[in-house]
Amino acid sequence: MRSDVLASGRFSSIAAWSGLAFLHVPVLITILYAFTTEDRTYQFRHRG
Amino acid sequence: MLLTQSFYAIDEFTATIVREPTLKTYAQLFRPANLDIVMRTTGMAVAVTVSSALIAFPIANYMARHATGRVRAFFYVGVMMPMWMSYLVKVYAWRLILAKSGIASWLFSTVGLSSLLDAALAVPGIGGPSLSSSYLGMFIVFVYMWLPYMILPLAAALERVPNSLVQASADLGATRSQTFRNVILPLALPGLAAGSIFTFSLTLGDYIIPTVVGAPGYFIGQMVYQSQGVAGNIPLAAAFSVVPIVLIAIYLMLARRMGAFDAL
Repeated sequence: MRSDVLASGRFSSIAAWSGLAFLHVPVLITILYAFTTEDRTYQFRHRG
Repeated sequence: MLLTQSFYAIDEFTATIVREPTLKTYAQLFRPANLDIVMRTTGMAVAVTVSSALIAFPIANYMARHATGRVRAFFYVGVMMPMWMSYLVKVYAWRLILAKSGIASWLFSTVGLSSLLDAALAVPGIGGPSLSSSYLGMFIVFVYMWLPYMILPLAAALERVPNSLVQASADLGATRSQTFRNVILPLALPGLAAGSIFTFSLTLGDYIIPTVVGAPGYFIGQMVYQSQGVAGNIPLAAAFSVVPIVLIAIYLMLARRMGAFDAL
């Protein structure tokens, strides 16, 4: 039985996962841009 | 070497360094323009440290005390993976995200919250024409960059909190928040101190993020870089780099007084 007082909340696991997602935003953007041929890089919504 | 240089001064007429001990260069630090830079950098460092602690705590707590097996391994690798990526690539990726018609503003308008973004950018102190040229954007990038350096020491500290103490606290009738305040937080304090020293000193010294993203105001790191590279004013650069040293010394003293190193 895990009787962890703090970490049992739903809120804390959501906060943890979203924090981890935040850490990967630029990684994903870099990968996305690696596969685009658009030259206007400062404008979003272009096609690959 | 650095300290001796900072006690020299530059001759303003011939732009040569006068090698006589003087406090003139330190007096220059207190000119309004330079004092502004110091205050701006310190304010940013404090804001970044506080908010990265707030963001890092749930992540560290989850990965150290709640997650098991694969999820835990995934979290450790996940936190460290952005650190394997080039620093410059991450900064420029953020610049693309925060640009005027970039991904962030596209996201805001898709969700229908453009007015919220505009309102945030209209705030006098932190706003600007776009996220990538405001202190708000710079703050986001700083927090992002130094977040792993806060998470890892915090997780290491939280891992060492014995579960028996938490159980004992619960058995004695403490509520969740009481256990958190009186048991977990004091035991996590060394990790919090270590992480905040990282984030604080890294923000004080950085000169690349303020150059690439954010408002045109100077930061200490940029000022050091400029005065020794372009202006050849090594004494001023040295005096400026003494500022973070002093600030961190003060911070360490405060942290020790609060008992952050008692458990080491």
